[in-house]
Amino acid sequence: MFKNEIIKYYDNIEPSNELIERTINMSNNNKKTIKLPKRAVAILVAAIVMLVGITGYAAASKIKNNEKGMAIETGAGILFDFTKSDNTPDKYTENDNEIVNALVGLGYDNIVLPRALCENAEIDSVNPFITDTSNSIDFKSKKYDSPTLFIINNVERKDMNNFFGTGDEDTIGEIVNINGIDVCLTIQGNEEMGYKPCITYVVDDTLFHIYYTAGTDAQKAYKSGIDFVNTIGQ
Amino acid sequence: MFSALNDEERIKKYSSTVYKIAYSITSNRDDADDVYQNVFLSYIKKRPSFNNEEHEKAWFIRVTINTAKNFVSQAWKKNTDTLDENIEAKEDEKIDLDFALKQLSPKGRTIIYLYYYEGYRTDEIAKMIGMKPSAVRSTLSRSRDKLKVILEKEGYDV
Repeated sequence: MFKNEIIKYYDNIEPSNELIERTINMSNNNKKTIKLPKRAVAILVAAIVMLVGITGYAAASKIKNNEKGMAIETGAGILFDFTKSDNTPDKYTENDNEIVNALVGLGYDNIVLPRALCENAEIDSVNPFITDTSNSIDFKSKKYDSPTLFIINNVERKDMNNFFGTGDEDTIGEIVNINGIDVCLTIQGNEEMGYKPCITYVVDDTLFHIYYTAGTDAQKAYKSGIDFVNTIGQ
Repeated sequence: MFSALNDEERIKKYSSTVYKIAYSITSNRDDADDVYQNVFLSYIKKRPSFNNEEHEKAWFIRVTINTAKNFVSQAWKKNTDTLDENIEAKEDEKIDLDFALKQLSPKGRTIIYLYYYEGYRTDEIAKMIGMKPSAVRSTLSRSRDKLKVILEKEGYDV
């Protein structure tokens, strides 16, 4: 009886035909591309060639796969624009380990973590961070050197951009799409201090920033970071 | 084999589900209309690929929930479905299922919809909205009990 009433109620909750039509028109409009006449293309190409000639060879981008513009290379480090990244995961991390359990206990939901962290680390300390709904968490691990997680919740997407700039003019990295979300991996540091894979991503309205130290070989640190990122949400 | 739909077909296919969830969470048509358009705009911009129909539908449900949450962000965080028997309607306001559902939290309404209307299990709902299955079950139970208290008081046979 109860179930029937719920079904009858929701049977009557429908979008208006006008809303559906408006939305279909919106989808059609987004498909339109402006085709330049051939003469205009020729003028545009000539202008670009001249500009490159004046300014010299432009510095190659240091963050690969960044076509959407999630990572903003400032020349002095990386800033983020999370309005340009995919932030809805295919699945959330199961609550089958101490770390997720602890985050749920702290009031976080929408948790997506690297399986490599969940299986190879335990919490050492939980500290407050910038806002009431954020924490920094230090881990102990036999596999990873001093991993740290910053987690910030309940922040509007445009405001998240202000939380984490990272790196310097030598920082390299790439954007990886894993579990449906865009993740930025950057490798920071130097031979003397060691290289740190830094992993940053947003899930719904929660920002995750994880880093650890991965030795003094930049290539090995990069591979370690990629392997770590590829376990996100797995 | 999973076959691809064009945008218009996909919008028509998921229109009803997206709107019902949006309305469940926001409780008003203006906000539900906004959520609905934002969800399909998000699909058009991101063009995710799907393994099968089940995966596709789950994506639309999750994106709708996440988009609608922004409209009710503070209320979403609370689980306020306590068994308060002293709920009073405004003058001229009819106490029916619509009124009763609006006394639930957005989370409670969403779980009621996904469980009873869409037929999802609590573990499936938990994955969609990022909650523990036990939390989904307890929210479902409290929400259901609250609806029954309100409706039985008005003489509805539930």
